[in-house]
Amino acid sequence: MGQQILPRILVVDDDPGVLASYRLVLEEQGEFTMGPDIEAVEREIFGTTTSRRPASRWNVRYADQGEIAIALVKKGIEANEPFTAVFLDVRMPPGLDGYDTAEEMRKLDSSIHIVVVSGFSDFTEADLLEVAGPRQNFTMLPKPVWPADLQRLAARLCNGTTEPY
Amino acid sequence: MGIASKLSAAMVLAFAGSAAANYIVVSTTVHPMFDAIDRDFAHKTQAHISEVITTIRNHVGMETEEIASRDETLDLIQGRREFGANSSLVENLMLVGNDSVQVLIYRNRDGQTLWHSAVDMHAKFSMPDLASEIEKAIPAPAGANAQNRSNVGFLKTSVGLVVVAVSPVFERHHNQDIAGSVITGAVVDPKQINEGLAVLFDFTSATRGDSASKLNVQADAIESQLELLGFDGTPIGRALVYTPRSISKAGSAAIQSAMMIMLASAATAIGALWLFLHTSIISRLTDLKKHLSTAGDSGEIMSFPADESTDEIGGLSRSFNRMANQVNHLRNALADSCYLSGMSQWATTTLHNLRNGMSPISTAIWQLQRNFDRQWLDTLGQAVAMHAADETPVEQKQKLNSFLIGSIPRLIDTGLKTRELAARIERSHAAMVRHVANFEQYAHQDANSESVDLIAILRDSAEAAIIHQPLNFDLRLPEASPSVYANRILLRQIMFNIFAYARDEASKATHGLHSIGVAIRNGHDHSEHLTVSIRFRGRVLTDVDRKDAFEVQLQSAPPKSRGLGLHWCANALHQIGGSVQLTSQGPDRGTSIDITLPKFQNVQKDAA
Repeated sequence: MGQQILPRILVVDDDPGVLASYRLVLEEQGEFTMGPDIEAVEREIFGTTTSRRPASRWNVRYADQGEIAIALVKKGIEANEPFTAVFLDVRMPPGLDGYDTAEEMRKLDSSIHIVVVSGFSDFTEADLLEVAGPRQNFTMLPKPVWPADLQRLAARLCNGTTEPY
Repeated sequence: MGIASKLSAAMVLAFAGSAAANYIVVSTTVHPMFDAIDRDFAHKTQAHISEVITTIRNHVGMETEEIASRDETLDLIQGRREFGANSSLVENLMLVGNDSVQVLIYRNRDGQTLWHSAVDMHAKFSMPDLASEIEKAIPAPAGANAQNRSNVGFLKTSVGLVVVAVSPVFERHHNQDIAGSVITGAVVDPKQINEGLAVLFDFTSATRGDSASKLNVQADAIESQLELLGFDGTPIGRALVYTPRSISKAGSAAIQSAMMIMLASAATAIGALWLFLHTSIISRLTDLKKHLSTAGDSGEIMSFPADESTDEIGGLSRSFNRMANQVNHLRNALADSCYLSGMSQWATTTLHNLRNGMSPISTAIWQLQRNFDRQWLDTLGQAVAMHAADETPVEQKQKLNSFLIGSIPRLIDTGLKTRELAARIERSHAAMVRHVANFEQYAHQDANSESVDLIAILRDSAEAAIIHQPLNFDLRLPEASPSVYANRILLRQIMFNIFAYARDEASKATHGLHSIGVAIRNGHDHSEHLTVSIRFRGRVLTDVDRKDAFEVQLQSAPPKSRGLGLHWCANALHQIGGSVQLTSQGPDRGTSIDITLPKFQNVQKDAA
């Protein structure tokens, strides 16, 4: 039986704190804080357990500069492992900003879903839609993105569901 | 050529033109008129002289005939009387009628001189040589060839021009028979004519080549000529009459005086006009021009000193003052605008940083929520309640014990994670507070210039531009610097933009550590300015790159905006009295952005 190929998500942001947040939210692993015996007792008494959570159903890559992100997208296409979605910041000095990065990514991959996550954008949604569209492959979110919303969006884009698990 | 020079030239030309016009009028109309008057007078004088000479001839001729007709004369010639003292010879000499020299010669029928005498009647001495000279000059016709009529003419002698008359002496009873002749002569005294007619009279040789009727106009006199016929009827010379040009001289003097008066009047009038124009218009315009020429170089345009006059220049200066007020107002508005633009740019950056800072906080909160899972808490609550209930079976209670005890590690773990999350929240909170405080530190400043700690601004703006960069940067700042006179907000934004530019260019360096160095040195004029040099190594900049660096960022396709570029920095620096230039030492030798700033001292903007 072949290994399931998980959807790929690319996160691009120059702020290390923001990248750390993305990592915590998108790479949440299943947690086992109680032993299987306790879980069995919990199931016996309450019919379910609260101690296990399924792992995220995607792979995440990170980049802190637009040029690096573009190279990753290109590499993924060449390896026939394209990214399903990219979460893209706008202000990323000193390199390309989100506007240019989105424009290049769209040229490389017409189907990648570009999610622009903006702290304070110099561009309107219409500006970005012009280079990152079409509308069905573009989303714009303000920072900070509520982690639950981030997970739900990732689930929708990668798995077509509303729940990440 | 300034208006003053043009005015002076115009005045000089007007004066010269006036003088030239006067001269032309005099030359073409007045002088010819005087010439005509003088010529006419000379003609009249000439005619008068001619009359005088004719009169003298006629008088001498008539008197000679009178002498010849006397019986005494016949007796003397025929020997019946002797030439002696009793004769009327002296009387006859005096008959010629002038005070100069009289000549009297008696000849017989054969032409022999019987008696002659030449006497200077004025000086009373005889001149025998003159008598001999005349005798020789007058041929003595004899016999049948003797002339039987009188003849008068001029004769050139050693003493001058002499009017000579010859009259035949007839026999007493035979009127046609000639017994002899009488010759008289009178010297023409030019001096007498000069005194009598107030002209200069002179005698010259016979031929002069030009027509006797032609007037020779000279400066002081007009020379006219009278042809003098000799005794034989041929011209022996000419009498020169010099008619003084007293009328034209007097007239010319009068004209010259009038011209001088007119020119003096014109010069006075022109000078007065020049003085009036110079003081009331030129000097005021010059002051206004001087004021305007320096106004553009000053920081704030000073108003022109109050000119209350109601003329055009007064109106112009008042208009300038109104314009200056508007320009100063716009300048202040621009300064405020630049200030606000800087604040706006900074505010957007601060907001961006705040939003980024909120991400860890929201993530931590979300983790807290997930750690304290609702379902898990409800399950724990139910377990506790069921354990406390009396109706719960013992076996059930034991299982509940196991569950509750088994959940303790999770509780502990959750608590520990909660503390970590709280610490993370606290750090993010502190960072956000710092961002806001940093912004607030400058947000309350106004748009005026003040003393600014340059090192503090450099450090703050450099760190803001380079912070969070994954690239390695070696930033070297000087330790100390004089204060500069600038607007703090503008200067910080300017330096931020320049450091951001330097960072972008330095990051393109192909090798080595990306470094940015800052040096401070005195400007070319040691007392007023200093220069901040930001040096870095990056890509090689061409002359076009250096030029375009301060141009409006045309390469940014709309609606894309890269924020405030070096173009804004150049303008903002000019606003606070500074300047910027980009220099490159050559390939692989680095680039320097040199910012000149005024030192904080007793700065006095030297306005117009």
